[in-house]
Amino acid sequence: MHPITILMYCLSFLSLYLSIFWLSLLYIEEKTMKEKPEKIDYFPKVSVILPAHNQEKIIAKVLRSVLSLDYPKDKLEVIAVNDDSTDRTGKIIEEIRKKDKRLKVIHRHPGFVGKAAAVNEGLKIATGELIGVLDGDDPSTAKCALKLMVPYFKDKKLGAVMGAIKVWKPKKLIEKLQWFEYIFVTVMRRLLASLNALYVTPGGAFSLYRKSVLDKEGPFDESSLTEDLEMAMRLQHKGYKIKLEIDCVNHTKVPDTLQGFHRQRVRWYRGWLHTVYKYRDMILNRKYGFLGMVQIPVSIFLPILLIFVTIFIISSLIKWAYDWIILTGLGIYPEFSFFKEVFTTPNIIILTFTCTLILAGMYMLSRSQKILQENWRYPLIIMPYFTLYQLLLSSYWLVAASYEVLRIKKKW
Amino acid sequence: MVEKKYLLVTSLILTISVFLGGIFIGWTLDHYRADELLENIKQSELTTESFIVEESFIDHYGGNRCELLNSRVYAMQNLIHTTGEQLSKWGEGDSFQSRDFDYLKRKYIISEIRFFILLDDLQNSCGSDYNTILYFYEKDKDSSAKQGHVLDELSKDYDDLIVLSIDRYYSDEPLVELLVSEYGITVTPTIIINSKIKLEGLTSRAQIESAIK
Repeated sequence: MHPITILMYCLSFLSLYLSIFWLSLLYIEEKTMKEKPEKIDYFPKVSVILPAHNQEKIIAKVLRSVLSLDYPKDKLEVIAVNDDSTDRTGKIIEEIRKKDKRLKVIHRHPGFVGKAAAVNEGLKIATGELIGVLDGDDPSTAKCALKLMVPYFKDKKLGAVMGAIKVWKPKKLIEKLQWFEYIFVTVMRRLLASLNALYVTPGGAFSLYRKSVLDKEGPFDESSLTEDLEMAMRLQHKGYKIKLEIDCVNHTKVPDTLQGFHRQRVRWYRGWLHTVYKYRDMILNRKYGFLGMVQIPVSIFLPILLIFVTIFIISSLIKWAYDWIILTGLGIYPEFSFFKEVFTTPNIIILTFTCTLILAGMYMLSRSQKILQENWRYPLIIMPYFTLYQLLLSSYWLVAASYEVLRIKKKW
Repeated sequence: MVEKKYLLVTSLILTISVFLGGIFIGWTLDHYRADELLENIKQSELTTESFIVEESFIDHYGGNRCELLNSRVYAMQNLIHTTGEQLSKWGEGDSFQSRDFDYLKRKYIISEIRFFILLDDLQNSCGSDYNTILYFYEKDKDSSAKQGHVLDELSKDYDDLIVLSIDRYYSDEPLVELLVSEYGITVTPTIIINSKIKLEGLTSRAQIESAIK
């Protein structure tokens, strides 16, 4: 048997295995996904840190939403870090502070330092037992009920809790595609959390950290492109648990241009590569359970596979176009024989592999929408989401890997 | 939690079961394909055998030999074409039963060459209007695949065109080497038109058309 065919069989096996595993886990977990930890009678003080850079249009809305969170007023403190804004952001924050003394402000001048450094500034003056981190550029209006998240901290081994994220008012195609992704990823993360293998605590999800853990393990890594991912991996590395509260929903604004999307994804993927390299001792380490033995290796393997699939598809298309030109030159006007050629036996294995993933993905997506109480929206975009969008993401993995190989300077 | 603990193992068992089921189906389909191919080859052998007997009959008792040859060409051409298509599809898939495949491929090549001799005979003794192309290709070679496309298109458009494909490097059947040395094949693809015209390398539709007319 040809080595490529053997590889194809292995990939089909792996995709089938992972699909069965995740679907079974979803089946088991779906019943208990909405279960809450025991209620608490004591509310620890929470400091919400909000870094902001030139956000005059939305900062007031975000601040008001955080200050009006459903949590005892005397137990909530908000720290806005004005990171070298050149617009009216600083003034707006000051105006709100005059009306609400729970709001503390740090004005950083001169020089924009980025989210991690800004959050670390806020951490220095935070007095809460728990630290909430929210992206200041989110028009999300933090609706998440803190009361749902705080009880998780009864578990002393818990380092952080994150909420669910949904896309804020998607209008353009690229936003709608991300809407599907966020729904899907939130439920996947909830499943990972059930296996104690959650390795990301995004700011957009209003993540809540235990202050004593941050004091002990150190602040956010300012050199990281994805400081939230790095922090989550660090917590897992040190043996802390991370949970996800599915009913604590926040909305986030996603890039609405291809250029913005490209920049964000390349940053994320480069950040992931750096973080995995930093905590490489977790890979295939039994001490880290499912995360070390399965999730991280799969997360490394999958991008590599996606890069190869992208190269394969692009080169196939180029070859098809080249063949078409040559055959036309030979006096043959080939019909669009793509589908005819797709159904050859080696391609059937690739098709089985792809279809298994797409079908499992579609089922997971439909369940995820139900879990997150969403209706079936944008039915025409589902197939592009599972095909073209994944191809686009794969190409960003390729770009991120190329940037790393070429040592192109990291940009936030 | 107990369920989750064994989830990786139970999923693995389930996956192996599904996969083994798939392999079994593939194996069964291979059998089915082999049977179908064998049936075609048997049919082609029977047709040739029947033709040979009929020819002896005509030699012995008299009759129109050319009419007989002409009547057989169409049936044999169809059988050989179908068998060739089935074999090439099977060959692409790295089948589970490669020994069966090799055996059938060899039988197919013998049938092709036998058919070619009949056609040659038909042309020499009856001066028929058929155009015969012997197409020497190389497996997994891009230019051979493209030449195959050109010949496929041509054979669709010309009813009197018979294309017989020979794998230049098929070493299991000594007859292939005989043909290769007979026509002095040194490159692939090469096409021999009506045993007379030799066109080497990737040849366009127009070139072939002008050669067969």
